[in-house]
Amino acid sequence: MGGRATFAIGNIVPYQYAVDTTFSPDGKWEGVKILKGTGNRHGLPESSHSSLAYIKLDHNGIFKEMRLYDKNHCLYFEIGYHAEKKLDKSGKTVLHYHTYDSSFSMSKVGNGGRTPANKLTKSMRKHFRKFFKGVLK
Amino acid sequence: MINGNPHDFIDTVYSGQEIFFFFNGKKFMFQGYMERDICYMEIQQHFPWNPNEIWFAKGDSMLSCLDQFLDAPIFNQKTFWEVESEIEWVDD
Repeated sequence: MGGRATFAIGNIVPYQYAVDTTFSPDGKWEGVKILKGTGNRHGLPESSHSSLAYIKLDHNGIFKEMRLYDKNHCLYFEIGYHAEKKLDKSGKTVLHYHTYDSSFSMSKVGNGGRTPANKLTKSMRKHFRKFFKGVLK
Repeated sequence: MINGNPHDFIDTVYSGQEIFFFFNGKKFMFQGYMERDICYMEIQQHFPWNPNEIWFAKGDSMLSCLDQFLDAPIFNQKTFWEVESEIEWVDD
């Protein structure tokens, strides 16, 4: 699990994330590793090591974010659960997603292709529902 | 910077990924994205919730948006580098 231009281009770097066993003894939820940054690292990795997905929980153990990576370790899909002004002006937390170009993980420079937040579709919610730990809606 | 490295913060701003941070007792979220080859960056105030625009940038590249971020007096009329020691980078 690394930053941009690391595992995705064969640049092996020290891990900057650790498996989080705070809320799950094996550090997994529905088979997906739960990660937390080490040191002052935040968020989830920009490129994967051996996994195709990682999950991040908030300080209460509630689903916060999930990232999916392709077989080349490139980030391509991200689901978040927090307020997004353009999706709900009331400030309610909303499940939403972003997509990324493979260039995002393969280079430290360039625009990366991150898309604006969109609400999860019905089929996405159904497909990913089991990963949304603690999310009631 | 509290719980973070300001250079990592700037790298993350450039990448457009979400950053949650506290400044002056309020919680904010930064993010960037692209739509139809135009790059955007924005800061939302999440606590206390404020539906109004805090800061917004638009440009032909993430680099041009980053330059706007670095120059803008977003933080109580001060720029990022003037206040970075008072910013707390948080996980959620």
